[in-house]
Amino acid sequence: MIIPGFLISLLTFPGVIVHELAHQLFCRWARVAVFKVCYFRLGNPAGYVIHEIPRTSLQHVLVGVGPFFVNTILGALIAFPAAIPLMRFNSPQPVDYFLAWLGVSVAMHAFPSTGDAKGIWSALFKRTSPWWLKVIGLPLVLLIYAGAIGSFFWLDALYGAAVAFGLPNLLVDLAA
Amino acid sequence: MTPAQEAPEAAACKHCGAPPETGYLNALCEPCRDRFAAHPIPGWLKLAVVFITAASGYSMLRFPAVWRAAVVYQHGHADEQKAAYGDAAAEYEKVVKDYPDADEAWVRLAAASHRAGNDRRTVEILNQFRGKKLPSAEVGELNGLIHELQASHAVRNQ
Repeated sequence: MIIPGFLISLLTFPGVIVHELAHQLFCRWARVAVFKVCYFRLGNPAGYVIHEIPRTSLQHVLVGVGPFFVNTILGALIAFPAAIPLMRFNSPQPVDYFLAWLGVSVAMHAFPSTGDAKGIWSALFKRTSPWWLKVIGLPLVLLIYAGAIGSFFWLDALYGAAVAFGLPNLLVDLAA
Repeated sequence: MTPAQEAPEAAACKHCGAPPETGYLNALCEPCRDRFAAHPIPGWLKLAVVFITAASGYSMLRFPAVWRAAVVYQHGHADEQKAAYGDAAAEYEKVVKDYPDADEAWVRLAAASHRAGNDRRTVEILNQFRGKKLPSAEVGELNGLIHELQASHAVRNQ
């Protein structure tokens, strides 16, 4: 089923806003000049941050992958208490549906765009990049590319659902 | 995120004309870079951040109780599988106390109570389900319980 991208972005707009805000905040912490920020729009991309090229590869990687961690952790945190009543007890309250939607929306926009991935890739393979950053960054960039390309096949939505619903249930199974 | 296209290093900050910071492709002096890096966050977004923080806070407040209930429910399942029905019933009692609408937990409690010999509790729970629509798996489990109760009642009356 093909659903226009703008419709998906509209339905999951909190995730787009959190993603762009995370880019902006990582730019702030890494002292990278930001020239323009669009937190949400009905277009492709749904949001963007225009910033200067960071000075170091580490700054570049942090600014690029920051939203991946922020959206994933925040999405999981918001959805967790809703996922259990929804999935395990089949006894959700209205607020659980809201938190589940918010959690999935935030988590499904965790993947950086292909533009982000290209930037991180070029930063990683600069001559001056430390070897440990390449070791850590390479699998991350491959994962990001897979996510960015896979969004055409709903991989981003699957990731959002896995973080919001799969992770809590997996953790409970491991803890019990 | 889109990095802006950069020009080679320049001799002056392109914003104010002061000497630029070295090491960057983009010619900005230190105060200008600090100012651009601290790009303002609009008021509506600050409100949205407060709202999302509140949602996260609410989730975190509920987290311990939800976590406890989910783990207890799993322990109940494990106890049932070990035929420790009394322990299982005690675990399920805790779950239905926190989640009184959790039909599946009530069904498991009814089954565990019956197998633990507490038919009074089982009948109480069965009465709760009177006239209620349930998924077919749970209806099958409850019907099985009713047959078992009827059979044991018939044996006692012989």
